[in-house]
Amino acid sequence: MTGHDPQLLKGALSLLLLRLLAERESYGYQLVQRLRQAGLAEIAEGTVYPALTRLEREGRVTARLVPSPSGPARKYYRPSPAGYRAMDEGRGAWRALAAVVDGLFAAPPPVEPAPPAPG
Amino acid sequence: MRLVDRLRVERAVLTLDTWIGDLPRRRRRDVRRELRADLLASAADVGAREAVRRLGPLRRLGLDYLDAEFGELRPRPNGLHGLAWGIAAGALLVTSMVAGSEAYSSGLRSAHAGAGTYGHRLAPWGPRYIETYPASGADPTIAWEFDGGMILLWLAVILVAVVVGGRSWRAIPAWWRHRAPSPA
Repeated sequence: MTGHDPQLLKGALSLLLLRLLAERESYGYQLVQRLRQAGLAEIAEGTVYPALTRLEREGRVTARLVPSPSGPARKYYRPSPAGYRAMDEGRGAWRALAAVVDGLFAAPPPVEPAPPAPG
Repeated sequence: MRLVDRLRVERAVLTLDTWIGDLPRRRRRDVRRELRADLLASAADVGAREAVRRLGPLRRLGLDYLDAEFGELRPRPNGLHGLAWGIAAGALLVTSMVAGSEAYSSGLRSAHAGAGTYGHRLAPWGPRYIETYPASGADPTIAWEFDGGMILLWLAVILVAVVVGGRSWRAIPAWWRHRAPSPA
C-alpha cells in the first residue's frame, strides 16, 4: 500500500507540526514543504493550514508576522510552552500506541478468524 | 507574477472568505492575509493554478477553518445578521402600512369624501388608519390606532426575523445538542 492513511495522518499532524516548529520557525507553506521532504509527499496545503489555526487557538503555538521581500508579510509559528508539553505528551502517546499496534501485528493474522469464544 | 495568476490567487482567497463568514471579523481578515501569503509563496514554486488546486475544495477548507476556530462550539450565531433581518422586517411592516395608508387616502380623495371620519384597518396585522375631514374643507387630519395585539404581533415577527436571520439556534452548545456520551 502506497501513501499515508489520511485518518492516521489527521491524528498525528499536530504532533508533526509541533516537532517541525520546535526545530525551526516556519510559515504555513514552508511547513507543507518540510512535511513533504520528511516523506509525506501527498500532503495537501488545505490539511495543514487549518491545523495551524487550531494549534494557535489551543495556545500551543505562537505566531508573528515577518515582512517578506517577495510579497505580503508571512506568519511564522513557533511552539509555546504548552506546545512543547503537548509535543512531549503526544510523542509518548504515539509510542504507546505504536507498541500496541506492533504487538498485535507481531504474528501474522490467521487466514480465517476463529469462532467466538464460549461463554 | 502574471496578472492572471494573481487574479487566480485572489479569487481563491475571496471564495474561501465566503465560507468563513462565521469567523470573527479580525480572525477572518487574518485568515485571508495568511492564505494569500501562503498561496503566493506556493504559486512562485508550482504556479497559481496548481497552488490553488492543492488547497483542495475551498468549502471544505472553510469548514475546517471554522472547526479549528470554534471546535465543538461551531457554528455560531451572527448578531449583525440578526439585527439586519430584524430591522428589515420592521421596515417592511412599516412600509407596507404607509403604502396602504397612501392608497386608502388616495381613494378617499378620489371619492371626494365629505366631512367626517373615515377609518380602515389596512391589514389584519396592521393598525387602524383614520382620516378626519373637517367641515371647513381644510386638509384632513391623520391618526393611527394601535392595539396591543398588533404590537405583540409585530414584535413577534421582528423577533422571528432576528432569530432566523442571525441563526440564533446556533448558540445552543454542541454538548447540549449531542448529549449522547462519546465512546471511550
